[in-house]
Amino acid sequence: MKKQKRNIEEEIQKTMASLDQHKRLEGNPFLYTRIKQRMSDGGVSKKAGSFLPSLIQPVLFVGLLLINVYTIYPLLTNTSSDEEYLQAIAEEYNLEVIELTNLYNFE
Amino acid sequence: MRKPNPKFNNPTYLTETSFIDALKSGNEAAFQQLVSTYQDKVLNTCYGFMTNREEAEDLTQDVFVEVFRSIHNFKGESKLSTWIYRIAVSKSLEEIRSRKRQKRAAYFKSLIGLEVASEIVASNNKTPHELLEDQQRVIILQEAIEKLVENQRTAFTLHKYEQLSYKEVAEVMKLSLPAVESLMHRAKMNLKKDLYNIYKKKLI
Repeated sequence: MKKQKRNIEEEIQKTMASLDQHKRLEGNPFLYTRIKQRMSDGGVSKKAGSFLPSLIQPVLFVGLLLINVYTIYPLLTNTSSDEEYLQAIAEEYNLEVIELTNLYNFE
Repeated sequence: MRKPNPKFNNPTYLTETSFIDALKSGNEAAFQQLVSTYQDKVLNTCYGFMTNREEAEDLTQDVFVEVFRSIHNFKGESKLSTWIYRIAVSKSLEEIRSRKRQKRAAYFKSLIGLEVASEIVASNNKTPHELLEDQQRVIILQEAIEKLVENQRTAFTLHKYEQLSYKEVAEVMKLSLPAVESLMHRAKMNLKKDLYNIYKKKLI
């Protein structure tokens, strides 16, 4: 148990010291050219597009939700009979109401 | 007659003040020199937060664009380098906050982490096995650093990756020296606690 604890502590010390070996990164010689390009592009980074999906997603979600509410709400609050409702739909889409019983009338 | 500042190789800019004046007037040569002088510092600061070279380079560009845009706001209350470090830290933290942390992204990062770690670990005549162990330790430490709260992470990153002294870290973070010492102490304690749990699980 003691040996295990000592091993863990040794490993922790080595890990904490691992960044002491850190070799500094050297800059890109073309950095200035890239910066100029970015500034002429309006300072937009190539990651700038990444915020658009995060903006579009909630907007789309809210939009879909509203459409669903707009569609479902009349169904929930509809007090007229089924026939009146079907008639209203038929008129809207220029359709003819077919009675369901006719579908199964094979005579 | 003022002594030329060796930091500024271009003989036109004898002092930081005249250099800043040139930057504020939109002088392109001055800006180019700014990039040349500070790019390594900015890159390594950003790398300390991103732990990915490509992302650090991308962020470095963002930092210099911001420097160019904001230079007219620089009032000279601190050194130019301190001000640039602040922008680099601010941009890095912004980027971290905006990232969506998903397990899948973390897993992918751990796959590419080995490749990245090989850039930052010097060989020092070590065997391949030792180098691999070093790389793994760096990755483990980087993951532990990511779990630190922002202030501790910033102080630790500036000190470890940029090798800023505590005094310099205090200037960048606009804190007192004792406050930075406290942050570093807590950061190290938290890292050791995290590492202990990781290695305890590994050895069981």
